[in-house]
Amino acid sequence: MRPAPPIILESLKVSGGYNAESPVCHDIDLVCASGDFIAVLGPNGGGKTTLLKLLIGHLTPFSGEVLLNRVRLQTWKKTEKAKIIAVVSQHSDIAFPFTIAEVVMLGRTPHRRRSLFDNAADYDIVVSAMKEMDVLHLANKTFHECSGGERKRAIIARALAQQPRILLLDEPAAGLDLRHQVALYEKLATLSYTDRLATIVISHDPWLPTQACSWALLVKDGRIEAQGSPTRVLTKERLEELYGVTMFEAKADTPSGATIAVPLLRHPTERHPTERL
Amino acid sequence: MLSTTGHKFEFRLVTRMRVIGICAVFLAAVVTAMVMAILWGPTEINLTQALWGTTSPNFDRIVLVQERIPRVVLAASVGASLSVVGTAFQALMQNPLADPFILGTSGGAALGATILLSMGLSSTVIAGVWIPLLPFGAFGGAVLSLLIVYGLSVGYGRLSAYRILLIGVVFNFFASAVIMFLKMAVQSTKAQEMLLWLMGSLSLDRITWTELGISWGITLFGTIFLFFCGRELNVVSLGDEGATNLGVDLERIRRRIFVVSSILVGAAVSITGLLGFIGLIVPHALRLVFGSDHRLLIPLSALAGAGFLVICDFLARWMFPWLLTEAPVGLITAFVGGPTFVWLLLRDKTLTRGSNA
Repeated sequence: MRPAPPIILESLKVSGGYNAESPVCHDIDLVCASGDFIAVLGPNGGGKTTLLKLLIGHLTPFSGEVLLNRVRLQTWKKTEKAKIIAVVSQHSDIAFPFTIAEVVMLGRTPHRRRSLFDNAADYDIVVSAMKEMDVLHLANKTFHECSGGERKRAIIARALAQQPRILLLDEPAAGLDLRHQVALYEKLATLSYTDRLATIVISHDPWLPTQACSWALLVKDGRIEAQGSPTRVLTKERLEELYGVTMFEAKADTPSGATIAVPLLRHPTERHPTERL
Repeated sequence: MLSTTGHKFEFRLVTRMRVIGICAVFLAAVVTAMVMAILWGPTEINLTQALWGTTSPNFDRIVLVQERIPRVVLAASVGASLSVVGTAFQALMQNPLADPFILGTSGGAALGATILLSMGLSSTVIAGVWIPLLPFGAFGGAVLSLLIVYGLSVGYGRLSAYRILLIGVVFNFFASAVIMFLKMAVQSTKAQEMLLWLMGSLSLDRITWTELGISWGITLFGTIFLFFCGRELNVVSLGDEGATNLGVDLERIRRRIFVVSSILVGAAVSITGLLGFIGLIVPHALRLVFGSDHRLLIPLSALAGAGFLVICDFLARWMFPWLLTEAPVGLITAFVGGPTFVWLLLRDKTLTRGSNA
């Protein structure tokens, strides 16, 4: 089979937000092509989710352009766009007691506009997406019966069932236990590496995304502070500056022996150096 | 087609065969109920006499052809319309408490009808032909209220579920205030007439086959249209963002469903008045038993709603000997529907334990 032509999503000097007088994001330059795995990191309220909304066309930029395959995103037909871009929003609720299987099946919608019913191919795609996200055993439970983490995994499974070329996830690990967080990022790294899925993950928590991603982007106050390969971008100093906490460097006990910066809690009995007389 | 042999499915799909199968069972039940409601009633009819009798006037035939059949056929079409619209509006508003009358349609229809009633214009005779005006008033009121609510909802840009809901509710309040005023202002006989109309009734003095035909035509068209919106209705349940991410043009689908549903409700209430409750409980009961997939719910709502109203009307007719007047079928739908609904609700442990849905 011939490999599918690469997909490219880019933002050129994009500024945007909810109010033209005070844009949330300023001059965002970003390129995400097939096989890229970008982690967008930064503190709460720094404009990460707004950036995502600009990238998927929920918000129209005040200035600059978002292009999908060199065509302005706003000119894409919604159904065609949904065949290429899948989004996992931060919060998702559903008004009626749909089962997990039905929720994941909704991911087939953009591909099945012409026919009203499900077929065997849909079934196979949905089952494999549910296996990937470890929710197959919940298939017949309703969405409301499941825990927050299980719901989140079902929503990610839905995005996978959409068979996108670009996957954008907003805080996908929030609410997941450590095992599923690790499994999720391993899965995303695999999809990006072997299936050439273009992936953008938004996270306030840098530790797992930076291990999985190929490109890190630090966003603060709506501007890109730095971008580059994760090891170069996420230095101890930069993280301290970005999040305003004290870090210390730890050497991972792995064959690669990567150095990562870890936040350090101050013990209540310990006084901060500046508090000394 | 899926082969079901030698393969264990983890969950059930909404396939063509499954939808057709379940619908066939419901259809059989509805047809049985209709036949039963046509043949039985407080007035005994002799079927052989009605069909092949040669006496003139043939009372059995008059009761059968001019009373029973039109009434049952009308009940089926109105019941189907109201339930289908209930299902569609619940999905559209993402609110399980929505019913066909929530968007101002009922207020508008009632206003149109009461204005005509207060002016004594419920029917007219033009060139020797008896023309009922009331249905036109009600339908006009319903469609006009649709335009007003819709216009106000989109007036400020995006069409949001909350805004439609609020404006619809406020419109209904306003309309009922005007109706109250009219009721106070007119003579008591007219007020009584209005009250009966507002309660909803299938006991019509004269219903023409043309009216029945139009009613059925609208019901069939609307149901089929909404059936083909099944996928979109499912996606709409995800909320605005979720639906947009799956490539569904929410505003367009809302607009379409809004217009088609309002025509359905308008046509239904124009003939029978405000038959409450049916559009709320039939969709709900079906959701509890068959799940939330609208590709299955829409056709089932039509069939179950038709059957439900036929049966309620059947019961209403049987109450005639006790009450010495005919019970408005709207009362029966509430009497029968309320307890059944609570029973279904309590039976489903997962739902009561679950969330607000």
